[in-house]
Amino acid sequence: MPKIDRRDALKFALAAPVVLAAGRLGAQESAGAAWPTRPVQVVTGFGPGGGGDIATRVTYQAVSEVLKQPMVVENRTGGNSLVAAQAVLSLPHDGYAFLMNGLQQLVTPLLMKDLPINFEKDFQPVTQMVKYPETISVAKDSQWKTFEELMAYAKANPDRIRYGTSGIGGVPHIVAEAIQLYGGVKFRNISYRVAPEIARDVVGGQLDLAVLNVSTLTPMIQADKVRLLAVGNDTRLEQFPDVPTLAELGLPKANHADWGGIFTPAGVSADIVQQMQAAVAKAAKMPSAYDKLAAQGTIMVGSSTADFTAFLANWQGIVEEVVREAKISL
Amino acid sequence: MDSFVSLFHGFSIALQPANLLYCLIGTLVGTLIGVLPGIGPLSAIAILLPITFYLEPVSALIMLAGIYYGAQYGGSTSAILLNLPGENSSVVTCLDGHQMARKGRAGPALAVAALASLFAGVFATLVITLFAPPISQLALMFGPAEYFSLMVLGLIAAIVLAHGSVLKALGMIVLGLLLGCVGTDVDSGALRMAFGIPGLFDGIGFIPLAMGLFGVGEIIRNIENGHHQSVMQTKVRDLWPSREDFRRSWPAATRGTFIGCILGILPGGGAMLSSFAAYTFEKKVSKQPERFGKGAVEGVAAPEAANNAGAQTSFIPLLTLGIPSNALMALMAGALLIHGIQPGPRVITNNPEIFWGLIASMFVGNLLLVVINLPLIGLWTQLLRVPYHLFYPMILVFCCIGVFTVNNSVLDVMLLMVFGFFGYMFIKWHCEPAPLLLAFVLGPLMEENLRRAMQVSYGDPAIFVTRPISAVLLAVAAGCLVLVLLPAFRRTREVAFQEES
Repeated sequence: MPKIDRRDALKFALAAPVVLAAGRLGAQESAGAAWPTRPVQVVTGFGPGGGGDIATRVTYQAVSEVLKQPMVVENRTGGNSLVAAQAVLSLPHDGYAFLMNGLQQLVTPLLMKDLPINFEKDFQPVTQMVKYPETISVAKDSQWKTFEELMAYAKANPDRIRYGTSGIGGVPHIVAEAIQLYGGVKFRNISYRVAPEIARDVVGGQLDLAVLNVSTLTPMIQADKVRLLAVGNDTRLEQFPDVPTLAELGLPKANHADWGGIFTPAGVSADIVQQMQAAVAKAAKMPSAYDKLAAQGTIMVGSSTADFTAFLANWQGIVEEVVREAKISL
Repeated sequence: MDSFVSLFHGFSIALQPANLLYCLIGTLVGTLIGVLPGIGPLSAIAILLPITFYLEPVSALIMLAGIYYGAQYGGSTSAILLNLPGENSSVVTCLDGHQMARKGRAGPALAVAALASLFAGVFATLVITLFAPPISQLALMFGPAEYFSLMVLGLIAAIVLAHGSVLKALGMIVLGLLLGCVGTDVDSGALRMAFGIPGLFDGIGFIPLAMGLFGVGEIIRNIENGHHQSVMQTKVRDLWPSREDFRRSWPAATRGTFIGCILGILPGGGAMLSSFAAYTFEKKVSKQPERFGKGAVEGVAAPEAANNAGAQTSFIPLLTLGIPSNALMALMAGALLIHGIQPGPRVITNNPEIFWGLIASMFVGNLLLVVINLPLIGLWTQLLRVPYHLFYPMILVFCCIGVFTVNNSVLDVMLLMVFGFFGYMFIKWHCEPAPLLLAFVLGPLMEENLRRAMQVSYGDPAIFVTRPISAVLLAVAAGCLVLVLLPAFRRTREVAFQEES
């Protein structure tokens, strides 16, 4: 698209003296003050309207106010986030294209052979954008009142408890596998295409157990149709102070929250990465954004790039172990 | 009567000038994208979702809902005029609607579609007003076994749907099921027939398939036949439906509305299944089933009423249970979530202005749609007079743009062309593409629910007959099958077939 390039070049030419002047005055926060001079694209593999998409849109609405440039969120679904990742890599690596992705970033390479791209080498982490605590729940009229009762039944009756999962290799699936692996039980795994159907079938009595992000389950909690047995998060949740975490229940290795993070192609300057991280961190403190997502249980994070890199390395270990031990394959 | 007081409150919100404007914008945009082939409400709403940031939640929802049912209506326009189903629910409208257009009766077809939609829309709104919370329970009563049985019934009905050879209809169904298998298997995550192409990991898109088989195939056929004057074989006969048309249409529209209201509530195949079901049912109860497929006005009224009714009742599970019944409702949920409103049981109590404002706006919107569209009928029919050699390149360009915009995928445009060629071959071989499309949509759902039901029942197939709703659905399916195989019934089918050839 030469036309756009020319227009951008023109914009840059017009903007350059201003930026130079600003730089000389030392008023700008960093040397890379020329970024962003045009809209920034954020591509996600999550479908429009879903939890990951909403989190991205709300966050980047706030980021656009911080960076004073429109942030264009684009959904490229398919291929376990492969389609979205390829779309980002096909754009110029100039700091105007970002990828919002979840655990698929780490799991897809473990599960799929002969990928056209290398997630680890082709991308660099920017920041953890959000986390979504996990819930372990049963129907309100279920025979199990506590997590211990559920596990005792599961130990005595292997392969009887039916639980629904959507998305092989997603955090809810990994948490469910880890509960079985480290809790010494075996559930019956029933696959779904989308998470809300799992909530529906637990309430309808088709399933015994659901492991879902809290945002998916919120309508059912409000309708008082489900009972929470445990949550996957580092602390108990504010809204459910009586529900223990999986770590408290003796399963620290299953106690995880789901997450979404920002990546950018390798080769984008450290300065731009740092500015984007700072913008997301600032957005996470804006009540207009934070409260909206908190209403459905999603927590904005905006961690430092170093923390996010360490976080990813930790997760790499977790999924490699669970995938290997639980023999998850495609 | 509380509901009516609340509905009245809803009208006071929907009729505020700003909301009226958003309703008008929504229905206009909806009509437009519905008419343009390929650009469906899903992509339009996805594009407009960020804009709703700047609107009041209720205005945003009113506008998006207007796009949704506006597109359902607009989709029938291109289906009738050009044999192009832009929406999966308008596939059925192609069958008789386009035949009416070819016979110079595009005007009555469009008018009947508009009026049947209006009737269904108003009726469905009343249903939501009166029964939303109780009937939302129906969605919870449908588990994997019930869905599987419903899909079986749908596929058996597809055989009844086809006119012509049962064997060919069966062949098309099998082909549709196979095409539906392409992509990632939900249960194991294994790839099936994707040939390592990431664009096929989620399966073949419905839009390139449907538009290729119907629209592009038809274009190739028209060029071959030397229809160089225009789409119509005869002159425009009339613009407005005759008394006879009305007499035939209104019972069909009523039955279609009932079917649509019920199927719309069920998550999954709702909208498409409702128009297919209404059409099949109409053909069954008709005294002259042989008229179907050749421009029967009931074949337009029933599915149009059904899909519009279904489009509206599909809001019920979202607003009362927080369960989006299809991808579009998931987007609507997103529009609410963006504003920090959790769709679900609390919407009625915590945000009554949203719930009742939306419902009242559906009333208003359906009226607006008819006001917008009735005067356009003359214009649309004029469009058919454009010489075909000027017309078809435009249609093809719009098809390609439309298909491309759905996923920004060149692969989809190539698929459109491949399926266009198949569509042409199917016309040559007298094979009906409609059963193929139904099987394509239902096949994956059926497979998923079959496996899920078997897992839920620990491998016991009795689940399909011990659960009452499932058992009834299967019994009806068996009944349909018997009808198809009954000699007397077969004779009438053969008569119909001979008349056609």
